[in-house]
Amino acid sequence: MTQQQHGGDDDTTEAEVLKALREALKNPESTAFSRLKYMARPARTRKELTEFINGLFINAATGKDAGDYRGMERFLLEWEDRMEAMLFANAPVPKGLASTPWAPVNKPVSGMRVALLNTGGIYVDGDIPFEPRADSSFRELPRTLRQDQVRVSHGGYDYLGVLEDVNCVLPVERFRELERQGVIGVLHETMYSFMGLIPDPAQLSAEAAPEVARRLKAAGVDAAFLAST
Amino acid sequence: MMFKRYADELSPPRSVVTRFPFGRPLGEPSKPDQHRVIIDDALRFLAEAREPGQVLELPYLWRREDFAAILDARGARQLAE
Repeated sequence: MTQQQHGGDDDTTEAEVLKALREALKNPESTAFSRLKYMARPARTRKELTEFINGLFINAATGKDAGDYRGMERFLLEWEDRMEAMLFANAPVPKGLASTPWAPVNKPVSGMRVALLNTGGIYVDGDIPFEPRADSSFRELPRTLRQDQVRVSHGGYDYLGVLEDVNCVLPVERFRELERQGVIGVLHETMYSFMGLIPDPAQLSAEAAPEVARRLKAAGVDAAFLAST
Repeated sequence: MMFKRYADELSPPRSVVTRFPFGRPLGEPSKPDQHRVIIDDALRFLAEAREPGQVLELPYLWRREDFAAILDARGARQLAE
């Protein structure tokens, strides 16, 4: 930080300017910031941060003038999309299959056996926790799962919601209700969990995922409802 | 799914994208009506999708919709016992 650059109108260095801009964007990382918190991360450039803060200012003032903050809302949604593009560019995304598999639906949903799956690192109390930094194994959970049995081990997302109510990722109560109402045929006895932070998905593709698919097929499951986090 | 781009790239047979905070794909904790609307849309899509790789992007904003009213309008709210 010895090199003087044109950081501001005084003797401020570029690094100090970036630090100040990031401080201006400090946030509690609560759900309101779920898709925007990355603005405060070191990867952002001065140009991006300046553009964002200036846009906030312009949209806030014009919104107040018009008594209409829809412009502000569009602005924030656009930046959420930009953050998504940034995350996507930086993440090691496994390539999809060469072609998308297809299983046509040949019966009404009300006659289907439906299985629930998730990638939220959810497991049942007493089972072996996932390794939170890299784990391509899976866990089974019973359809009788109660909230007080819910445990999570996952190094890559905010799972406070799951600890409060598992249904926001694994909607087991909702599907039991749907079964009672006859909207679906049967909720399958066993649910399957993965832990979605898997830097090298080779083992997942070769072993764990096909094994779960094999079990579901063998059990006569018609549809799988998989929620990712 | 939480990301439209992942849905496009990974291309599962059918995917539904919700623009909710990460870690809450079905909606807020303890908001069963919200979960029900998302599931209802997904099950309908399951029955209606005709070609592999289709992606359904749901329009709902977090905490900004009246999910009970949406269910009522669909006649899908006999639960809530």
